[in-house]
Parts: sequence; C-alpha cells; structure tokens
Amino acid sequence: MSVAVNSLIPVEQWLATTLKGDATLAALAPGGVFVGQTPEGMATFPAVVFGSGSALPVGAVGNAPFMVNAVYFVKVIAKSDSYVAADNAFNRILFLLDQKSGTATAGTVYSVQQEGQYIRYPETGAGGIQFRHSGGNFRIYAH
Amino acid sequence: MTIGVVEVQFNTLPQLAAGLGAGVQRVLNDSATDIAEEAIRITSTAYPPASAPGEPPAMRTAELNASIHAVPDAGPLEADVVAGTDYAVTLEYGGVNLAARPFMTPAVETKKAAIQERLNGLLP
Repeated sequence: MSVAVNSLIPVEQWLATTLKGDATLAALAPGGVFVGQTPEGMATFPAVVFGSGSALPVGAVGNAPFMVNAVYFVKVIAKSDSYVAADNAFNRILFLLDQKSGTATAGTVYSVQQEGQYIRYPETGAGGIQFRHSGGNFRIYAH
Repeated sequence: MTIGVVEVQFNTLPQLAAGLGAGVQRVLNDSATDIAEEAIRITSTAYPPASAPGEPPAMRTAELNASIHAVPDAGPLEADVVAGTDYAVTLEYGGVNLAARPFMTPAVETKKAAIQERLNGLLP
C-alpha cells in the first residue's frame, strides 16, 4: 500500500509554513527549515529538517482514499557536541506542532500528534565536526 | 414499580485480568518478530541502484539487515526491535547531508493493523 506523492503536499506545505512562520523558532534555529536534508556546505546551524517516515492511504476498501495517515519526523540539527541548542529548538517545534491542525493551499491537515520516543543521536561529520540531532515523530492525518 | 437487583453470578473479570498480561506480552513478542521480518524484507533490495531519499536503504553489505532482530520479553509488557549498526539511526532519520532512508517506521506502520487485531483477539 502506498500513497500518491501529491497526497503529502498539504502536509509538507503546512509543516513548512508553520515552522518557517515562527519568529521564536527562527531565533532558536537560524539555519532555516528544510525538507529531507540540509543543503551541502551549509554554515548556519541549528537547522530544522523534516521528512516522511511512512504514509498510508485511509479509505474504505474498493474506494479511493479520502485521507492520508502519515508519520513525519521533525528534527533539529545543531553543530555542537551538546544537545542543548537542538533540544531547545525542538521544544519550540513541539509547541508549534503537537495537537495542532490547519489548512494549506493544497489541502487540510486534520490532526498532528507527537508519538513515540524522542529522537536523539550524534553525528560526526567531515573533519570530525560534531553534530547533534534532536527531534520526534508526528502522526499526521491530512487530505 | 419494582426495580430488580442485578446479582453477579459469574465474575470472570479477575481471571480475565490475570490472563491478559501474559496474552499481551505474547502479542508483543510475536509482533516484534513480524516487524523485524518486515524491516529485513524492505532492506533486502540489492544495490545497485542506490535507494532514493525516503525509500528504505538498498542492501550493499547486508550488515544492516543482518543486524535487525526482535528482542522478546525485553521488559514488562515490552518487546523490542533492534537495528544493531551504529549508522542505522542515521539511515532512519538522515544525516547532515544525507536524506533519511526510513525502514523501521514503515515496517511498524505496515504491521500496525495486524497488531491491533491480535490485541483485540485477546478480549472475549
């Protein structure tokens, strides 16, 4: 089972608009908001990255899906050997996304709910540069 | 008007409650095995070609999918699914310049309905 890519457009529009539109998050994560990954050679961190972990159609058997049931990860990447900056920005993301809903030009986001454990892991980049990832999964129903 | 008194003749609730914990643990153990098998299945597509961003990773060395396994009885009402390489989390959620190739989240989501059915099956 899979969903058409355009079913996810409202989700990604809403996430980008919500995250980019918040001045507090922009101050905590001045690197910006990106889908999938940060651009090669980016210098400013922390930055926010989100992407789809899973997307399943919702609908009665034999009928066209009327909704998408998606799990998105949203995380902050900090160029640091500490989680503090990434955690602070992710706390703001939780405030902006968890238990929320809204509309995008391409459709409607019915509900957003954080679920599962927090995502936290280190990464050593080229030249030994340390990064810390802090985020979580969000279940999103949209149409 | 008479209001009758309902007398409980057979209270099976304590028996049900006692059996439920073991049943749930059994479902969790079976479900962890199913999720691990699904995660192994979707990470078994041979490389080349490389996986696209958002798709499960293609299998280059088999190290990742050989490391995926279920841990039954991991705790009270807990069973785990483990991907035992240090780069598994970076594949699942992405790196600084690497888009995510999720494999555990899709495996869980694919099996979720079956897990729910098994849990429902525990109730009389």
